[in-house]
Amino acid sequence: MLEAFPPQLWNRSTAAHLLKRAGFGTSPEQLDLWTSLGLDTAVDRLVDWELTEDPTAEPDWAQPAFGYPFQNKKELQGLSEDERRELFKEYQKTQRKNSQDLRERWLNRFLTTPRPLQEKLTLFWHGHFATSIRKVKISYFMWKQLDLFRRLGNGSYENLLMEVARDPAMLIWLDGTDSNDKAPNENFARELMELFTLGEGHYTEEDVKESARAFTGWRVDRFSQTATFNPKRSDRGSKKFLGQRGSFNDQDIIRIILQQEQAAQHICTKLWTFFAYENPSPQLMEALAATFRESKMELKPLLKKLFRSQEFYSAQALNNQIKSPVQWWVSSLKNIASHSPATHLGTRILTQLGQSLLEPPSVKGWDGGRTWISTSTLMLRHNTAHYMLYGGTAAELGIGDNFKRLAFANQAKKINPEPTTVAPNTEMEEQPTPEPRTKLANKLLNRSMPALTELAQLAPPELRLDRSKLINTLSERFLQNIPDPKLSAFLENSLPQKSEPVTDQELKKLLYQIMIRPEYQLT
Amino acid sequence: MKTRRQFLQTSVMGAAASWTLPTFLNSTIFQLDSMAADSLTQSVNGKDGPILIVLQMGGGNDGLNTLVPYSDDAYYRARTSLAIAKKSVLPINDRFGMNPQLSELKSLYDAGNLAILNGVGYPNPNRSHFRSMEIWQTASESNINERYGWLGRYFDNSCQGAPPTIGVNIGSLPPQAFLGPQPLGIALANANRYKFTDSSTDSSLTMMANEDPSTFSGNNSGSSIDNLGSVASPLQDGMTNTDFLQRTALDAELSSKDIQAITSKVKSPITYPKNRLASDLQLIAQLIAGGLPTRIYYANQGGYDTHANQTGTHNNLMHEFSSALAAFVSDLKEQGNFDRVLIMTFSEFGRRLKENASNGTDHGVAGPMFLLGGKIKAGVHSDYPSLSDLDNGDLKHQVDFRSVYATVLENWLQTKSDPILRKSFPKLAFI
Repeated sequence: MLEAFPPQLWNRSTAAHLLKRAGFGTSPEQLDLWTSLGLDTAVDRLVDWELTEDPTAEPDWAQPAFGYPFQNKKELQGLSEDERRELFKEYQKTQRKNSQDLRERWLNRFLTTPRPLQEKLTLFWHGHFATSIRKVKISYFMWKQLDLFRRLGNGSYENLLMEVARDPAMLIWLDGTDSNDKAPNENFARELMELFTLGEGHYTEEDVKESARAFTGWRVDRFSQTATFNPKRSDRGSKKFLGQRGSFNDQDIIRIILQQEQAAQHICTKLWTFFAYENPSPQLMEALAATFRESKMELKPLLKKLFRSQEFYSAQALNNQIKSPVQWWVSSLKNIASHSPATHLGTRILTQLGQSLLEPPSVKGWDGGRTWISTSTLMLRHNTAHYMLYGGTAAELGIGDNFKRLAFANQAKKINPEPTTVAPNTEMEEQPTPEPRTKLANKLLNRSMPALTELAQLAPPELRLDRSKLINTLSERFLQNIPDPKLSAFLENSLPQKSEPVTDQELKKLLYQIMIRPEYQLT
Repeated sequence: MKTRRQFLQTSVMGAAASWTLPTFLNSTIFQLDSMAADSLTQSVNGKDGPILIVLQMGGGNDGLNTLVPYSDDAYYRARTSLAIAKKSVLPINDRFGMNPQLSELKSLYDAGNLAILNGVGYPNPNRSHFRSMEIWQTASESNINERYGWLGRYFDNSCQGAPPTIGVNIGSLPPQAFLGPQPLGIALANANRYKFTDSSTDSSLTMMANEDPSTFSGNNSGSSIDNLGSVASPLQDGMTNTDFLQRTALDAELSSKDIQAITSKVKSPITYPKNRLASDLQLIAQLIAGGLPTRIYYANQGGYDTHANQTGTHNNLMHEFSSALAAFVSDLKEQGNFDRVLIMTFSEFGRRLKENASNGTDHGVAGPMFLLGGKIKAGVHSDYPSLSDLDNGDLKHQVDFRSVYATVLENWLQTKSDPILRKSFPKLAFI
């Protein structure tokens, strides 16, 4: 088990598979490059991402207490109730703006990163630790947590867990901030074992109670926006935990958890499910867990083993994973050669498709697999594909509620709801007086937005003369697969039989047919 | 309204006879349709027959401030800041009464439309939201992880071959309760948008328009890979992912046509309050009035996880809950459909008796359930749990929620509950 995949079987197809799973897919030109690296080098380059330059800039607001209206308690107390409320309101407004900024930057990063696995893994850890901005509220903390995943996502699992335990967003999310020696809150301790590290059945209620005491003392200081430790609020007494006894602190607890046999199995199974396929055999997971334990729970060797294994390239894995909404959206933008990252629209569509960035649905994260697909979300995937190729309105995409809210919140202001995809709308900017909310909302809802695809880049004139070549090229690009003869025949049938070059309209229809196929929902 | 078979016959057979039919058509659809002719299978026509509406109160509703044990000093001692004063409680009997925000619900109780079950829960309770929600939705023992939902198993047992709208979830992703070996039931967040932009391309037909999909997905990415000897196109729940996607596309197409037809002609005569739950219930009323062939509707009101500063939040939720349900019931009465409907509410757990230090309450165990309908046996069907005989600070459950499900399955949906709940549970007297 976990034998190395034979290097002689490495080709464009297997390289495409690796890039889709360890990233978000790639363009045909990039694929040539990755293929030419060979399997081992390609995996090294993905996993050892520090060696690749990443010029991505971080937002200017991504620093502690940025824009927070009070320096300390005294300043806060010096203000009247009304003044405080006003300042908080203003601050919250900035936070909403920043959180949207963060979502859009991340979505753009999926698309443009030179380190695909770093972002893919950051998305994995985001779903694993499943922290939501709905409770955390402060964008800087969410940014900081994502930054933690970027820094340690391929590092030591133990370090990752230790930093997560003291991460401000996590302290808020699982009530560490409400916990103290007198009333230890069990939320984090419970989820740490149940979801993050061991799984149910591998600890007792007593273990939850005892370890909750060990996590006390950590809080988030609202003025400095940092995690701080107050020994007076921490329980330093003796604890009995998973069969051991001592005056354990948070780090001791994590060390003891990672000594459990189950710890390696648990995270290996989650990673395998995310990258390769669902329901792997227990034997395979034990084999993977064994390598993880041998490497002292360092993630890099584990990831390399995974991406180089025969099983990762087996039929069970290939083209059989239902694309997550993020995967679907980002790879589609690449496939259609989008002229815009369309991040503003993208974040809203992702919400409708069931993957709202920074807002996992529960502490358990996203279930994935077939749970991504319902009649509604499949319909919206079709409609979004249609929009990407033909353009359309927000109303057609079912994202109008946001515009209604937006119109509501900005009734007296100039707004541009889709700066990345829509040319400046002069009509709106010239309005002397604000329109009634509903009228404005309807206007935004029904304003037509241009298509995202760049057809000239997808299918240059010479390609449009040769139908089979066109279909092969597009099939490979969209399905990254050697085309099935029957599928090719079907696609060829959907083009009119004539000798003139394929027109834009015919091309769009063909692409729509590809994008609504079941194979296109799989990766 | 077309069945899948009729739809496929007119569309696929007619327009595209040259295509070889995908295997799933033969193996799934036709088989399902023949099952529908089976006498054990419940038919559904949208005109008569019982309808169940499951209303989930997500987050763990504080049962103690929903039905208030106003005669018990222990309540007032445990909740020095959150207790609801005796004088404002809407009394049900001399032991407990309703939260004052539930005035409409109280009127429904007085009118004989509401049954109350106190202290509903299950043995070895779990205090994690999603685990407890999973237990409620799958009707499993608390130490067993069950994949399928209890309604999914109902669909599978009793509704084979039924149209996709047999179960309708309001919200774009179905609850685990609907999950079964075959996809059944649809999910929609908003009726206006539940349609394909390009209605000229039959999406589901494109989804199936090449032969056996398993020859395409999986094993042809370079012939050498086949030699590794793994299984091609692995089955999950008896279907490949491709089958599953095709089936869902077909269900989307059919249900979208039905729902568009209904919402374009049926308008509700009742004014609903302006909140999310109310508009979800309004949509359900519209679909019932339009005769959508549906047995189960599922709606969700979230926000009950009141760990801090509970009072305002909880009161708002109670008010929304009560006023939305009241409008919904008036609508159904106006339609003449109230006797066909049973509304069942639940939350994944109640909250602890003792309030916490942040003017909130933490995860507890047992809580109340409400059952509303024209044919309900109104009244209080289980006593208020003791506030002194506690389990680790929590109310003990005295009714297993699966007894409620069993009663609903047997006495309302007219089907055997044992195969669905995997065990026999005593029936209750509310229907």
